[in-house]
Amino acid sequence: MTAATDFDTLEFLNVCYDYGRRRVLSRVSFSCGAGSIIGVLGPNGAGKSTLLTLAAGRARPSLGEVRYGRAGTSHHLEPALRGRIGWLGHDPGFYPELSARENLSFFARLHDLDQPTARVGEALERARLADRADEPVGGFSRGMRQRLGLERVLLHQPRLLLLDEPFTGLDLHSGALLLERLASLRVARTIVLLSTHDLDLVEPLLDRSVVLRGGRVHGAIASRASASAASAAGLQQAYAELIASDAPAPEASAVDIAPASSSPPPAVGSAPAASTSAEEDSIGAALSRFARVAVTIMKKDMMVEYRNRELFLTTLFFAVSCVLIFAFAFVRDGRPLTDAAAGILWIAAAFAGTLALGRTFDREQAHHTLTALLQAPVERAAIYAGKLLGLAVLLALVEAIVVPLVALFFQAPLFARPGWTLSILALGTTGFLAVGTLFSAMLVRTRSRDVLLPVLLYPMTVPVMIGGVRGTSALLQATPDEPAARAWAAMLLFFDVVFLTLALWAFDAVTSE
Amino acid sequence: MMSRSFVPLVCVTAVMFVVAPWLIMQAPFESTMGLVQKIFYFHVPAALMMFVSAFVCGVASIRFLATRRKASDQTAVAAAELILVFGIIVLITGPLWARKAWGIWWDWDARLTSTVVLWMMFAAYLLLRRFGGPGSERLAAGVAIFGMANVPFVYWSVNVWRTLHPKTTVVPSLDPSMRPAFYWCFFAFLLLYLLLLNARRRLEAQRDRLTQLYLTYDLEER
Repeated sequence: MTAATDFDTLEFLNVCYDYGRRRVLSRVSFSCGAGSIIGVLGPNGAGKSTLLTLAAGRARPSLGEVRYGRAGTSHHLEPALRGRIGWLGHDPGFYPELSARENLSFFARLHDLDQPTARVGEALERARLADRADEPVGGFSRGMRQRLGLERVLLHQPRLLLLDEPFTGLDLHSGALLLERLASLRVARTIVLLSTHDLDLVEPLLDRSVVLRGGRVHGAIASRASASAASAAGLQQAYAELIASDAPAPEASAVDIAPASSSPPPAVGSAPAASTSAEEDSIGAALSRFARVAVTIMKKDMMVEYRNRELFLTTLFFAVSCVLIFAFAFVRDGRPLTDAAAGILWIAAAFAGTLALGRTFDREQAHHTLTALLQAPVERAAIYAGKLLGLAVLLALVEAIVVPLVALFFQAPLFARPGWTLSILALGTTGFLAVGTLFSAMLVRTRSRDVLLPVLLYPMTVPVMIGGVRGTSALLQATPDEPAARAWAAMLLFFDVVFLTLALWAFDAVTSE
Repeated sequence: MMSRSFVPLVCVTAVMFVVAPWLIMQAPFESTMGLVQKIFYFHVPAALMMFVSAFVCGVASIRFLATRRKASDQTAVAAAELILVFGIIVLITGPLWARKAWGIWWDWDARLTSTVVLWMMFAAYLLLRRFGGPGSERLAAGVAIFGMANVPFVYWSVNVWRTLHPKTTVVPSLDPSMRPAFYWCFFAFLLLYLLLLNARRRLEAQRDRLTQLYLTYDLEER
């Protein structure tokens, strides 16, 4: 992971990025070398965040490319190369229910670091939070979270660090601590790209700044140290003059920020790799890593849920409400309709499942942890599998309560064939969640996502719902119809395989920004 | 620009649709349903085009997700719209036929219901493109591949359930005297489908070209 993915330069080559009918970035070209700290400056809407997102590899340029030395380009960005990049936004992206140590340990496992406990301990020391390491991050101040955030993205010793307005909302003391830590990265020869509006604060830190305006490189500003004494103006003044001028600076189209030196990157011993390249190449190792990542994400989701119980309680309440409403609706001559039990059970499961699906990714988005997850050097399909497993456990718990409730209200013999009932429930729920997890992930950044999720999900999962209802109905007859239940279970299994295969394949493509 | 074969093919299709009623009239009456069975010659080809279009949309979407080629997305959106167009023909001609044959406009029937569901899947695809904002074409492509995966379920539903709707064996076991009219209509619908797909795809390509021009213009204006 190290030798092949180390790089000393970052180059933007004629990069354009279109968002709908708007060209957000236009023909951006510049390069920077190891050990340099570069400011990305510009007014709001200039394209600074988009530029950093492209450098992080979470979006592909519409035209041109971003080149990471010889390690790869934006069009061929392997997960291992993504693992050499660190990203920190103005919100550092933590799970508020987990402690500082648990948060860092989770990301250390995603990065497959060796000696994760020691590394996490060192990171907590550097963030000056060792004494509060086991407290939930939700109770931390803005400055503490930002310090911890910086250590999180430095855990894997990235070659490229991208900081999107990291000083927003920080007081002077917290800002100074952050500056101090960033300055120390020069020694590790990390390339740092930093977008900010706090020009006075970052002036001593920056080697050079690229100024964007209207999606174009409008000019470059050298640091006071490198400029001649006569021309040296403050960064604030130089920036104001540059922005005020209508014409781009002559050198604007290609700003070269040469590497500080051409010495090789740090020795492999200090790099984060845990596996040899031979092991990485084998299919067995890849599958093992895939399973490890999926289980890590599932465990994290379970831990978060255990701490706040938000999804479990709301989903359960909603499912029970559905069953009760239908229990009133499907009564004839004072007696419940046993035939309706299967349908009601699956409607309750589908409605409750939709609620959980929407919320699980909304929560990641709200805490800015989705960006951190997608930035991790793991197969995106493993993230999908982890989220799917977490949701499956949650819905299984809800069904464990709702199924006996339906049996009670509708006097339905749901436990006459418990093995078959469980099989049909498991297969149907898997099929529903296989599609739902993908749709929920891909809709998380769209407008009208609350409306679109059920609109897309219910028609697509009709075969699964029909299979589930019919299979359960077959088991609820006076004499349970096992052959029919077996046939429906086979159909559910077929759809599960098809849906899971398609979702695992499509997840990476539909979650790119 | 349309290809040179477009206008001649439009003329051929028009002639085929003009001749079709005469051929349908020549075909013998079905023994139990009589005249109303003639609707079969439009209903079944339209349904087949709906299924074909779902596959075209799904395959083009897979290609788009794998290669990010705009041409694949243009084909996918054109095919999705045609699913709705041919689906409406199916969903109008079906109840007209059912009213005479079964005595009711609509019944809970696996084929009827699953056809509506298939239509809804691609309506949802277009809703996502309409309301999903920039980048929704990739998300819609993800939806389309699941829509395609459901097509076999809709097609074979009549064989799985005991339904009023005829099974999939109807066309292969069609009386030889009815085949000329049926295949004539099938090829007329197929030609119509291909022409509409091509025209709509070209329109989408023009729209993308316009967007590129807009982006360039926007850039020069800054």
